Amino acid sequence: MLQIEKIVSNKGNGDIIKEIISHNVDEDITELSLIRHRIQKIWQFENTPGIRDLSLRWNLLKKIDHFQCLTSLTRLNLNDNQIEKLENLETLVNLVFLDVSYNRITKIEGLSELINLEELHLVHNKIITIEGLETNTAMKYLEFGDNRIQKMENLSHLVNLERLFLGANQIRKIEGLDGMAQLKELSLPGNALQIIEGLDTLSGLKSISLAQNGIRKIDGLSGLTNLKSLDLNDNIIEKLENVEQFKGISSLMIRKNKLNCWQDVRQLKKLENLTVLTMEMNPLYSSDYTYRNRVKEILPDVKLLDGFPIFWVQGDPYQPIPEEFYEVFDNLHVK
Amino acid sequence: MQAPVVTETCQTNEEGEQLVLRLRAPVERPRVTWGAGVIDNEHMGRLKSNCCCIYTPPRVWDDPSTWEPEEHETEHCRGHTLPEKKQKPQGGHGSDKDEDKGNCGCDHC
Repeated sequence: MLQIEKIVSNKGNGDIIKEIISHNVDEDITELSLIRHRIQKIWQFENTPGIRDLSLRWNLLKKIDHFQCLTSLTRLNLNDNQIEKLENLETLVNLVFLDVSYNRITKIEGLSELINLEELHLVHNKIITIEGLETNTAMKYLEFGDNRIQKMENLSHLVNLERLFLGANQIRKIEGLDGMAQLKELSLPGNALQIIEGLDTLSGLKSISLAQNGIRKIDGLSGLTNLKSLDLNDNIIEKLENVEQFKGISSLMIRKNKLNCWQDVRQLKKLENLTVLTMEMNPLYSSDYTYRNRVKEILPDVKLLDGFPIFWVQGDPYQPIPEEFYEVFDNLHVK
Repeated sequence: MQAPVVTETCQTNEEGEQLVLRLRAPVERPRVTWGAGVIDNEHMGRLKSNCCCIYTPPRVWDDPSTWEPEEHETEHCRGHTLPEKKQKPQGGHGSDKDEDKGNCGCDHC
């Protein structure tokens, strides 16, 4: 039995009808999902202390409260509510996964007791500074996309961090990642980067995304000895250079840049493992109607070009794909 | 009333053949229009229900004004617009009733 205050009707003229209902659940449940129930407040979790997985996505919660007694909780999902402050989470010492995306949080705080936290999602909030994660060294996955972060800092102590997402922020410089050899995936699209730097010690990195920035020159990637996937879509790159810095990649994405020289494309021959290439919306793409044929001729090992199998004939709506073709995708997985 | 017809005679070098051009008024085409009983409700002060359809200009990497798009965030809803922007009440939170004034009427709430 839980108590729920929900909004029943809202005509928009200040006439809001709420009601408090009792929600019947078995007292020994371990999972509870109340997605899109217009919940403004929910309490009496003392009656269901065994919950381990709680999802209250897409509701009207303004405050994190009344969860303190759920000490067995390992997963908490509060995505798409109206929460403004991270608080009252101290007792959830077993929490492994926390999602507070699409809320109105301005500061990362109140997480110091969550020493088992491995995955944290804070997409689309109003966070300005990366902080408050001093004790969360178990963290493996950090997602800060679509916030207002300006500086990469206070991350290098997270020795278990494998995946870091900082897309759609206001970062101008790649920094603060020294010594993070265990990092496997770094994602920085939609920022204000102009120079590729600060990546020298990320020897374990397999995938990096630098799309939608202002990068003009490919450089600073020589430390990424395990790199498999490089995303430079939607930048201002005119020249393919320093290709030896990412010799081992399987996937190169360089769509919507300023490449205009077919001689440069020949440099990609050095990439022996290259099987996936995205290069459309460059000057050399739009100026040459034999684009696909020329890429095929220069790079015979490429199997996927601009998202389509290289052998597909233009204009034919259905063309079968051989079974062995799907090995291309196996090689792309970041493990 | 029919438009006047203009006749023009033009002589070509080949074969001495004469060409005659005749112009006619364009044919009136069917047009859609409002019925007499239709009420124009564009400025009636109604609430809008475009919760998910707010246009966000594309992000430009070197234009900071595009980095934090206007969110149209109201008390209860993200992405909703109210008929007019209201001043926040002074002194922080008032009573529940005050807090809920001016809320939007979309399905998200």
